[in-house]
Amino acid sequence: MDNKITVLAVDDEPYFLELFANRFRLRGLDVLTASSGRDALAILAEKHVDVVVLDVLMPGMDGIETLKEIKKRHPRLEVIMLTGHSSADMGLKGMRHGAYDYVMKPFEIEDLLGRIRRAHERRRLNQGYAGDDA
Amino acid sequence: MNPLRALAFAPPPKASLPRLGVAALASGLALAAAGLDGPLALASALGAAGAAFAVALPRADAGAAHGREARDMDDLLIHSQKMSVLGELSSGIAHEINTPLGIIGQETELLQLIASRSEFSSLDSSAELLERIDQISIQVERCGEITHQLLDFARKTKAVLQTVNLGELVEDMTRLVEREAGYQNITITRRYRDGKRTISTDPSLLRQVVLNLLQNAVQAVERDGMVTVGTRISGQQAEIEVTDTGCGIQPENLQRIFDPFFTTKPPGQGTGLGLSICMKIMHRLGGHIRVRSSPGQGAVFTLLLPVAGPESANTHDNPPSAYQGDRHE
Ligand SMILES: Nc1ncnc2c1ncn2[C@@H]1O[C@H](COP(=O)(O)OP(=O)(O)O)[C@@H](O)[C@H]1O
Ligand SMILES: [Mg+2]
Repeated sequence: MDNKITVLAVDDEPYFLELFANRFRLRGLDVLTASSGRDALAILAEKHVDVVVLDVLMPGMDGIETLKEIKKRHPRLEVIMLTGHSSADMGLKGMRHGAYDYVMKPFEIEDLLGRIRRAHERRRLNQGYAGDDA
Repeated sequence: MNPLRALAFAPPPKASLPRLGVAALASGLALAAAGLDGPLALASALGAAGAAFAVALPRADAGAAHGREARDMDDLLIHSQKMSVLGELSSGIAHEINTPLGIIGQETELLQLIASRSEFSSLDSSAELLERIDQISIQVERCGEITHQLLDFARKTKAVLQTVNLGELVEDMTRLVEREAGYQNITITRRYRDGKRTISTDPSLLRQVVLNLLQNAVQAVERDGMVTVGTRISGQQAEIEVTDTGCGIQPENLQRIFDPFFTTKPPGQGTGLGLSICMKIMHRLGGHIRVRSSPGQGAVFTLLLPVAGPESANTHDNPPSAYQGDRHE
């Protein structure tokens, strides 16, 4: 629990990313940001990340598309989906493609922090198996 | 894997080999034929293949030395073997279909690029052309979702146990369906008891199950009705209950709703894989699903889970090894 959690936030809204990074850095996380799905994949190929927080609605490669690619390349990386509006279909799709959690915007910072911690815990629990992906 | 080959991988003989062989041959032929007739025929042939195996596998003779418990065990055995045959078959088919599907997808992307070049974009019918191509890519995407579900059904899912707040998990999923339900004038009522208590389970698997039940409930009501979501813990057992005022389930269908591909919904709305995946997940979590319903009277689905989590042996399909341990192979 004491090692620092590295989160990658993916959203097409620069203002959101900045706010996100500031608020979570204040709470002791390492935060990386990406403004698109492609950007996120490029970062993941190079850097160690524990948990991804991914916006569902993005132009270009959307959240589900990005999730699929992330899970294909880094199966053990945990992803939390963020969505502006709720939809059972979209939620199910996300879960089926291996999203750890599904959070609605606007989120409460402490609540999301708790979920990020639990996603990180899951990743550590899952690490006993061969082939790390980072 | 080729579906016919998948049949050869069918689970080992607790039943007489000749009968299994006949079942395999019959269902293989049906599948091969159905493959030519398109996906719908294929789905029903898969169901039939499962049924053929169920017949070929041993049934407890009523009134014979078998007690009720033995019969239950046999039923379980038949069910699990049937599921594993279907699992092999469906993943075989999904893999086979995925390759050409991927190519169609890529070609469609190329078509989209070409069609937006100036020589085409100046045509009168350019907008229509693009629209048609978009439609192809939407349908390819839909097929992709279906093959993904097929693979999901066959996948060896590992549970990762965490401490989970029961009420919070259920509430998260309830909120996901609530807005859309509201559009159809469906009210969601909460009856959370012991919602603050925690249980040991795999949260992302359980979320998937709860969301599936909620979606089924909302689809069953269609409009103007109620879905009630409840939680409680009694002793060592946690319960999550989803009740709806929808169409209910015909008695003859009650046996079949957990079968893969069984659906009463029009194509595009249901693939019939939801409950079979839920059942599989619940077993992995050391729990099970109960259903009560009379036609016209709505339905009650209850998830029963051990508070302390499944016994470790249950969290794997097989003893852990490098790849089986993976949640997404
Ligand atoms: N709450 C419910 N009320 C009535 N029927 C239901 C309910 N839930 C499931 N069913 C029946 O079980 C079938 C299988 O459900 P499922 O496996 O989720 O597949 P799908 O939803 O894709 O049809 C449904 O088509 C429906 O006939
Ligand atoms: Mg369903």
